[in-house]
Amino acid sequence: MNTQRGMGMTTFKMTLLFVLGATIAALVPSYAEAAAWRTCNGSPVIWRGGTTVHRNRCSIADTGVVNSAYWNANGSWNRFNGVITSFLVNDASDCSISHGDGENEIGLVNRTAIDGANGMTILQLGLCFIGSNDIDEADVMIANDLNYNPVFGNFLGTTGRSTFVHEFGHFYGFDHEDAHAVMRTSPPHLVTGGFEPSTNWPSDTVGMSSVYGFAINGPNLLPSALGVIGASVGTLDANTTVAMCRNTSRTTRVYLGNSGNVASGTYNLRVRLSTTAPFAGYSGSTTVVSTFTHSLGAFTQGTFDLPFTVPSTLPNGTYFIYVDMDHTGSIAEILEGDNSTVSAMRVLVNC
Amino acid sequence: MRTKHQLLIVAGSLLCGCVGASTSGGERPAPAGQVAVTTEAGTQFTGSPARIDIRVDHNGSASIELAIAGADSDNRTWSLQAALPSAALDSLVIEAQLVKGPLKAGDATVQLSSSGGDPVLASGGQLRARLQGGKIQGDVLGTTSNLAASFAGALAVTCAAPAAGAPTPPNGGAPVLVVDEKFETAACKPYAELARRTE
Repeated sequence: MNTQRGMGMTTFKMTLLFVLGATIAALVPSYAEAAAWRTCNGSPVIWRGGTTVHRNRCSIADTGVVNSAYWNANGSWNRFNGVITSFLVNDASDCSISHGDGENEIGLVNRTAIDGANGMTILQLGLCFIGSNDIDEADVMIANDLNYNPVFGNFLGTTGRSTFVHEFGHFYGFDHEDAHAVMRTSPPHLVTGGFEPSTNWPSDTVGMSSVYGFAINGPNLLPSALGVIGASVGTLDANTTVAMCRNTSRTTRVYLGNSGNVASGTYNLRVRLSTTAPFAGYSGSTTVVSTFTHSLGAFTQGTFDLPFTVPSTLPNGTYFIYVDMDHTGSIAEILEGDNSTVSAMRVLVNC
Repeated sequence: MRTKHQLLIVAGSLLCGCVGASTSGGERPAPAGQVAVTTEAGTQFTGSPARIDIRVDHNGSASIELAIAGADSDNRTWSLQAALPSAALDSLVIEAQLVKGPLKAGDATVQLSSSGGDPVLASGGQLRARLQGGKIQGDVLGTTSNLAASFAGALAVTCAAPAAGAPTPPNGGAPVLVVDEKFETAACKPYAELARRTE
């Protein structure tokens, strides 16, 4: 059994252009980094023919934040290809997760039962002998001491919701990859904005496309105030408050990606300042301070410094910086509601 | 809840003789904070590596920012931001005056903030730091004991430059810079060595 990286590695296409005497490099937003999965005789080790999952009702109730984390996580992958064909529920009195019984169980467990990890997925694989190999069973176990409340787009830490998305990636047969991906080995977790920030990214969905194919076509735009900096995930803007006078400018740094299998076409992008904190600020009162047009190819991503100027009429106050992709709603996307994020930086306007 | 996987994996294998088990997805807890700040008052903060962000404009001029942020056990954040002259990256020595307002090259701001509260800013003092072997070490001096601090830890360097594929501003708007993660552009290449030393 081998591990393979699928699709193209990052391709920063460099072409030197000479414009107005300045040397400008053509740093095209890159194709997502490779997803990773096991192979057997050259073919991916995946589910073939669909499967079912059994929610452990003893630990994942029928309602509440853990339940919504469960649905967000399986939906994050299953919306692209419906590998999971039935969602079943075990009896509430069944408080154990058994392996090797042919039943894919999903539940919360004591951290000590999974070697101190945040989550663990145990796969039962057929032996790699002749031809391809399948996943026969996958049991997903998530530590029961994690926080499952949705977080803001600038949250830097660990959430049960993102751990769920991560472990469902393993359920589908994907391995760790230390790119801008939910399949990173360790937290902090990358999150997008909106009301459900735990999701997968172009580097993850390109793997879905490679080994399962997409059953749905379209772009999916998503921003992040977090990024991979060096070997770790950090806030792209500093977690601080910067003082700015009216009519002065600076930049906000943001990740922009398209996790869908179709190019976005030209979409509108804006930066706005609001005194309203997330979550309300995602749709609250606002002052637009810069606008742009942009396009992203299928499974591409980039990190950008977007300039903005504090308007001369902006009242004194401390402002959150929001970035909205396709705020005009002109792009039909696979998933809506994940197009806004908020910087870790605030702007203090008092001069 | 108790998992019984060891026993059951073995049982499953014995029963059908065709199943191999693979543990997948042991997501490890977050590593410890990579920069440590200790204030004169004795409070300790830890956070992500300190950052130097280099932005090169169309004219080839570079603006440089240093940022350090850490949180304590009460979820308060101590943060520092400095606008640095380009010479700082040649000498690897950073010196800046603490100010309360907007930053120009040679200025820094230090603040303490609680979740949801307005930050408390240092109104005067000095920042002194040194970059060495991919790490940063320094002090904030001459301010109140809850803001004055010593810090040390890992350092990450980023570079952004004009590039194709960036969002386009309306006519006359300032251009967008693209983060060059691999320091491959002509504008960012000169900083590759500094970035490499911080990996």
